[in-house]
Amino acid sequence: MSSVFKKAFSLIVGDPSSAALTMPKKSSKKRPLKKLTERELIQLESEIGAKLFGDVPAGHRREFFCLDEKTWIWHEEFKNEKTGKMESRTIRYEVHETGILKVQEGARYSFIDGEELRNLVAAITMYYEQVARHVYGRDPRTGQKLA
Amino acid sequence: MTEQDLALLYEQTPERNRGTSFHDDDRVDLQKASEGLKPYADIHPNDGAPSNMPQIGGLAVDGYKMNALPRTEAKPKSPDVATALNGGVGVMWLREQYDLGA
Repeated sequence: MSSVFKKAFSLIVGDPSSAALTMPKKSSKKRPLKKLTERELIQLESEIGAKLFGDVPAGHRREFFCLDEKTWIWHEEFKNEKTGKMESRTIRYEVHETGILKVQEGARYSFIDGEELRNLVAAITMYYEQVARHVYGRDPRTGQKLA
Repeated sequence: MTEQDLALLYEQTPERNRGTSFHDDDRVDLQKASEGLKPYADIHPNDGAPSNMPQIGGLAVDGYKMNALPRTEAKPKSPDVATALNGGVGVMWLREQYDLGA
């Protein structure tokens, strides 16, 4: 085999005399500051959020989390005792300057008030405080990292 | 809640789906609102809070304060709405700080 052909061949298939092929190491520097995805962060937050409204009944699964600055999500899954089937309910709370809009399945919209409004606002405040401390390790009042 | 459910929720959020949302006109222009947010340290200068800390800290601890509201022409109608709005701003700020590795 001529040296030119040998060189071209090695460029295509690699050098057979070299050591065994190794997979490139995963770069740990690709996202050095983002160990968790946003979804994973939301899951961690939601574990706290779910407990803000009291104990979750047996057989229920609840999530409550901040989707974005103006949107809060309540999601609950439970087994219907009569049908035996799993059911779920998702409620979206949208913060408008005129009030907080509750959006439910079936195109049901209503601005909340009274006890529901008070409870939601209290839950949002507690969510921020607890998530700041227990997920992000920050003082909710100052924003500084906890020692 | 699956990845798909979450993606669907994102899609359904009016902010990401303008033109088909409900009460678009009533939504707070948060970009505009956040420009007027007074740094926490300006209000509580002695506690050493970072200058970009949103107002949630003051609201969460001390309750509603007029000077903690975003300085938009159209202010939230009630303290409850202001607190809820600032709660969301605060959580997103925490996520942002995490992303920045701060």
